[in-house]
Parts: sequence; structure tokens; C-alpha cells
Amino acid sequence: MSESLLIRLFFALDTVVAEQRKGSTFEIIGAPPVWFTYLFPQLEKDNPKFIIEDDLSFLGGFVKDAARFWKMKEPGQILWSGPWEETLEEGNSHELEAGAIYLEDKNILFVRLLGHSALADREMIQQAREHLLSFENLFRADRDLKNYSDYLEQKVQQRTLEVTKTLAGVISAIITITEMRDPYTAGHQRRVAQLACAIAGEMERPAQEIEGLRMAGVLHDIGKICVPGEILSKPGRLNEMEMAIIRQHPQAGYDILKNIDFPRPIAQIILQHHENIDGSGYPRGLAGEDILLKARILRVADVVEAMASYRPYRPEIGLDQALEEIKLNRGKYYDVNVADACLKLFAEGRFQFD
Amino acid sequence: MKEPIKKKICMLGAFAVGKTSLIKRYVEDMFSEKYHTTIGVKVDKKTVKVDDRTVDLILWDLAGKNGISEMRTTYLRGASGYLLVVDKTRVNTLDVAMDMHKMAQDMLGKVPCILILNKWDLEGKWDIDEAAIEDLRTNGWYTIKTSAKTGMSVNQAFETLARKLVE
Repeated sequence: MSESLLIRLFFALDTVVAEQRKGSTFEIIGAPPVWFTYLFPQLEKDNPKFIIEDDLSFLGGFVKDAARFWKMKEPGQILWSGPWEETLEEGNSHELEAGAIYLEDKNILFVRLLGHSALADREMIQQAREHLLSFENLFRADRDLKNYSDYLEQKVQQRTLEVTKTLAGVISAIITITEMRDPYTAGHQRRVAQLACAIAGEMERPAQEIEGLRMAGVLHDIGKICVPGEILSKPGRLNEMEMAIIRQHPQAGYDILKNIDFPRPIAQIILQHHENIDGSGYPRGLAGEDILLKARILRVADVVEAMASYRPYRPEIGLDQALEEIKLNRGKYYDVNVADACLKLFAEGRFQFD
Repeated sequence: MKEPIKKKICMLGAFAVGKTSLIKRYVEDMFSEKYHTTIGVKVDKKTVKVDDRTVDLILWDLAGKNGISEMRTTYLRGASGYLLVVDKTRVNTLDVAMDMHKMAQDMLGKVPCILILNKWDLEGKWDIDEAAIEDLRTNGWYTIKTSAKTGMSVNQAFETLARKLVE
């Protein structure tokens, strides 16, 4: 391509073409367009020379790169500056791009006004970046949602822990009150709970159920708070009326606990812990599977602990006789599976009371 | 009367962190909510006084890094310092800023720079936590919280850097 043809082409593209004269001085080939005179106001019609003296301007920086490029003397190659934005008239910025070529032993610098092509490029990049921002926002919203969900989960766990601690404190206080009124059964509830949990474990019941059973165990005789102390500690056999009063304690326990929102049906288990499989128990005479499994477990654990433990108001019975009672009334008073689990625990020496 | 000195300052950071808005606020005291992407480079000027020195700041607003187009390192040549801009509402812009800082250090060596935590006004949307900012300060970063929207600390950011350049 000849020099004149190339220059004509540049003119058609709204491009200023200048030849390097000396150092940072350039001379425009042809007449400079108006927009270029905003960049170099010193340009005159008769003297179309301009000096790029500001190293810190965009064009100043590019000319440094161009100087290195021209030294390589590679005809046909073009070094592009990349686009830049320049304020050419009051408040109006335009996109420009510079290039350098080495042509017929001349160092040629050209600067073009990008115009509509730049607008299209900008539009495309703007859209791409807006999409990227949308993706970022979506990603962040998703992450925030997950973080919030984790936060709520953490809060729930924390609150549950607090409630559990409070509940444990309340239960402990109730046990203390119950045992203060009835010192002979001190520790009875705790040991019943211990055995009941061991039986439930032997029956491979879920951990949550075992935890419910522990709570029911340590509270199961809370209703005895309504039984007069002289009946609870009376040596020898109780008469009919006294027995009738004693038999009210599951109902009394239920009434005390029924309005407490335990995570498990603790009040119901306590209400049923003197029911027998054959329907001969109290207070409701429930039979078979109408009795909650946890109540059936508690029933066996309660009998074994009560018979095995020392009581000052009756002759000692002992563990062997307690287990004999379970064996004897297995399927009658006591659930078969529960009784078997209990007997197996003791037979294999895998349980002993603290 | 001392001669005015010229200093080139580059604005570096991910795209849409507010580099152009910070310059617009500083040079023209204006702000636009509309996001206007910068293509390539935009050069602005502002003259400031640092004690008895007049400093002509040549502000190079470089298109933000975004994976679509990479910044030319030659644009950094001649810069006396730079503002590294982070969007407080986009945590990933901090990583981009750190990458660009490394690139700038490779090109310029150790020159003054300030980490700008922009969009501080969008309090409900903050994505970079205080601990991360505290870590940066512990590691020697000079940080300034700005809002191009409200103008908060924008002049302070540029003028602090200008002062560092002439000291």
C-alpha cells in the first residue's frame, strides 16, 4: 500500500496522521481536524507541528512505547495504544486511539476518533459488566441466605441449649423438693431413670427417646409431693385408705407437669408408670400397647429399684427377688420385651445401680 | 514560589468499584448513580496545594479488572502513586485489589498507595467485615473509608496521597 493511499484512508477514518520530526515534535500530514486542535491548541494552519511534551499524558506515554517500536523498523506492523477518553471540548469527552507504524523510513503516529464504533464497544462491555454484577449479586444473595440460615440454626441450637439448661435446673429443683419430703426414696428416682435408660438402650430405642425416659425417670414420683409425709414414711403395711392416697401420685404428677412444654410426653409417661399390661394397674387401668412403651419401661425399672433398695420401714427384699418378680409377672404386669431386656442386662452383669 | 510539580496517580481496582465516581466527585464535585463503564483510560487533572507546593495531579482512571479485558501494565508507567479502590459491598473486589497491587508493585516498585474502601454509605450491604479491614491495617495498609455518593473523605483520599508523593 502506498503512503498516499494509506494517508487518504486515514483521513476517511477521521484519523490524524503525523510524522515524527525530532524527538517529541510531530508534523501533521494534511489539515488537522477540529477535534485534534482541542488536544493541541498551539497548532496553526501554516505550521502544523505539535509537541507531545507531557510525559504523563496518555499520548505522551504512548509515544514512549512508539519510540521503542519504531526503532525495530518493522514495516506493516502497527502498535495500538488501546482506547482512552479525552475531554476535547467543554465537558464533552471522546474516545480516541493512537497507533504507530514505521512506513517508508518514516515514524508515523496516527490518532483516530473512535466515534460510533467505540459507542458500540462500550455498550457491549457495559452490558457484559452489568451481567457480571448481576451474577455477583445473585451469588451474594445465595451466600447471604445460607449464612442467615446457618445463623438461625446456630441461634436455635443456642436457645435450645439455654432452654435445656433451664429445664435441667427446674427438674433438679423439683427432685430436691420431692426427696426432701420423702427421704426414704432419696435417689430412687435417679436410679430408676438410670435403669430405665439402660433397658431402653438394650432395646435399641432412639437416643431422643432415651433422653425423654431419663427425664421421666427422675420426675416419675413427683406426685408423691401430694401424699402426706406420715404415709410415705410409715413403717409396716399401709391400709386401704393410705394405699388409695398413694395410688393418686401418678395422676398428681401428671397434673403438676401437664402444662410444662417438655420436648417429650413426660407427663403422660409419669401418669402411666403404674399401669400393668393386663390392665390391673392404676390410675386408669390401661392395658397392652395402650400404655406408652416408655411408661412400660419405667414400670419395670421402678419395681426393680424399689424392691432391690433398702427401706427402713420394711424387711429387705433385694435384687434377686426383684428380678424374680419381673420373671414371674413377665407378660402379666410387665411388658415381655421390656422384662427380657431388663433380665438380660442383670444376667450378663451389664448393669448395676450407682 | 516553588515551581508546580506534576504527579501521575492511577486508580486501580475491580470494575464498578467507583473509581470514575471518586474522580468525578474529586474533580467536579459531582456524582451519578448510573454505572458508566470506563473503556481503556480516562485522564483528568486537578491542582492541589500541599503546604507551599502546588501539585498538578494527573489522574489516570484505568478500566476496572473484570476478566473481560485485562489492564495494560504500561498504563502504570510514570505513576508516582496509586489509589487501590475496593467496593465495601463486594468482598471479591478486595482480592482483585490485592492482585492489582502486586502487579503495580512489580511495575513501579514501592510507591505510595492508599486502600480506598468505597461505597461506605451503603451500610446495609457491607460485605467486607471489620476484621478483614483490621487485618489489612495490621499488615501496614493505609486505608480510607470513602463514599463518592456523599463525598465522604474523597478529598482526603486524594490529598493524603498527594502529600505522600511530595514528602
